[in-house]
Amino acid sequence: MAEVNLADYDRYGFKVESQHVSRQQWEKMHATVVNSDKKHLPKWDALFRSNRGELPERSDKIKKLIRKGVPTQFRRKVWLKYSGALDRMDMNPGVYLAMVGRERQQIDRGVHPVNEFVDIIERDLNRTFPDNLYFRADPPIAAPAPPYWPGNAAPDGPISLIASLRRVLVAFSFFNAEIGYCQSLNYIVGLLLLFMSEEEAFWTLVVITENLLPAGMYTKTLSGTITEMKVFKDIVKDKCKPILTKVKEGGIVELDMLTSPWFLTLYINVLPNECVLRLWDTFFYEGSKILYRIALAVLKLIESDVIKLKDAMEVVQYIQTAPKRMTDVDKLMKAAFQRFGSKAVGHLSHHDIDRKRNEASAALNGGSASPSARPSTSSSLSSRS
Amino acid sequence: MNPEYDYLFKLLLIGDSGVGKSCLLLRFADDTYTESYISTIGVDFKIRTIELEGKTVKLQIWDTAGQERFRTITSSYYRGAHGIIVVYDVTDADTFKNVKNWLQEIDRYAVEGVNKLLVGNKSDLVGKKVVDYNEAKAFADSLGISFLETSAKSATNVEQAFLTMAKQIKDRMGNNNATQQTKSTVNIKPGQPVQQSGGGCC
Repeated sequence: MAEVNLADYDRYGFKVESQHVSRQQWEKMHATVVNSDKKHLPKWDALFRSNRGELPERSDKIKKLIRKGVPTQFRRKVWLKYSGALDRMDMNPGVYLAMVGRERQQIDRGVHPVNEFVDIIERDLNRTFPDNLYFRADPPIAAPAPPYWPGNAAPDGPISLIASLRRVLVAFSFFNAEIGYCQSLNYIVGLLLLFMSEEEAFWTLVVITENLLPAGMYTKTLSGTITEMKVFKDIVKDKCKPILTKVKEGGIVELDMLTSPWFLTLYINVLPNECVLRLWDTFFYEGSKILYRIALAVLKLIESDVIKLKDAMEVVQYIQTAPKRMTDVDKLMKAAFQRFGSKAVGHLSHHDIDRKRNEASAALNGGSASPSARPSTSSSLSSRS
Repeated sequence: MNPEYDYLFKLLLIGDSGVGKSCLLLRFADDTYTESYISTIGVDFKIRTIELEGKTVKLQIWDTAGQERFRTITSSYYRGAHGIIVVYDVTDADTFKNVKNWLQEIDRYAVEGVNKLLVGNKSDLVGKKVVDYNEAKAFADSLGISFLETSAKSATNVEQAFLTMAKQIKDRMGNNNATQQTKSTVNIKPGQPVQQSGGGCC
């Protein structure tokens, strides 16, 4: 068993230090989020108390509260409730286990491989969070249980979430034949499993891909991703043109290509994890618009630096690495949601995005609006069974 | 203008998921290796400048996601590439079988005459090796492309692979400039990065 120094890991099992973030920077970020949790805790407690221990239905008050950051111990409940995952799970009892069982059925029938995705899923299991305590190929024995751990008692042996990651991804590949498996879902499920059970993570993945994100993002042609790349370019043209031009002039790559992984992984490996969790809080409530707000905020925050760079390759590299150093969670969220100011994203509505999406998918489909364009309004967040 | 290099070559690494494209790039660009590598989403790139026959050559190397569906977004990278390295895993026969498909992608999207190199990675895993050197060599020979077995882990042949590619491109550029061939002529002059055409998608 591997020996590790737990002081090198954060409360989610991720390594504190990285190539991009020093221990000192991490400590500052950590102190800020812990304080923020503490500050907002009384309001959340009151909210639960006034509603018989449950979360209330959607309201402007909740939306505002969520934008300020959900205390990490409530994330599971908040994510499940407002993403629609909980409703979906309650309406479909036994479905997750049935999907897990599909693999066994295939094996019993002598079908090998059980489907076309299992091989590539397996290749990604140890390449998801290789430095995280719970996703390492060799789990350490001394690690405490992750924030969410299904067992009642503390586990005796080393804890690994790799098997859970595999089960959820394989079950999903049977459940959603149009997607099957797409690289980057491994990251999303991996992070979810640090907060919730397999079944909950499964249904959260279902609502992310079916309700929260535009259609077709992960399908075999990535058609939704291609549409979103076009939409994004359009929006950046309005909101942050200098950076778009700067990248284009470099002639190496277009900006939307650099940012496509931001959308696909919901910012995992793009921003520090504490930022990812904060934006996920709002994403699960407000939907895909948040991904645009965050992307624009990131670009606004780095714009003045990027413009100064002389070399085209430096520009590309800066855009790829600068977000990883954004340890000021509040500054990023402020930029994403503020209406005014040179670093603020300003007005951006679901309506604007929908209109651009319709135009983009019409252009990509040679003139006719694509039936796959799904509106990003919050009404689409209501659960479908 | 960029006086610091004589040539700028754009290279592309393609091949199945998990064959070690990112590790090869990390070894060549930063001379490091890690067992804890994450799977690449979309594209990533690194730069290294080398000396070649008295000239300074800047290599801009693009690493791509291996899963088949990502080809719809990575294929736009083929066109601007001067050289494409197709990687398979010597311990995984399927990844070698798929080399044919990757070569078809090159025919479809890259410029005519683009330099190609076949690389069998993970050669350090001697006990697990299933793709025979001679078989791969014969296959590469039949297509007239160079072939090397590499190990990103032990650094075997990694340097040679990229240098072989750079040399071949430089030779081709020299010929092209002399004969003014049309289609495969990519304008490589000091300070003139390669023009990439089109948007981010096809």
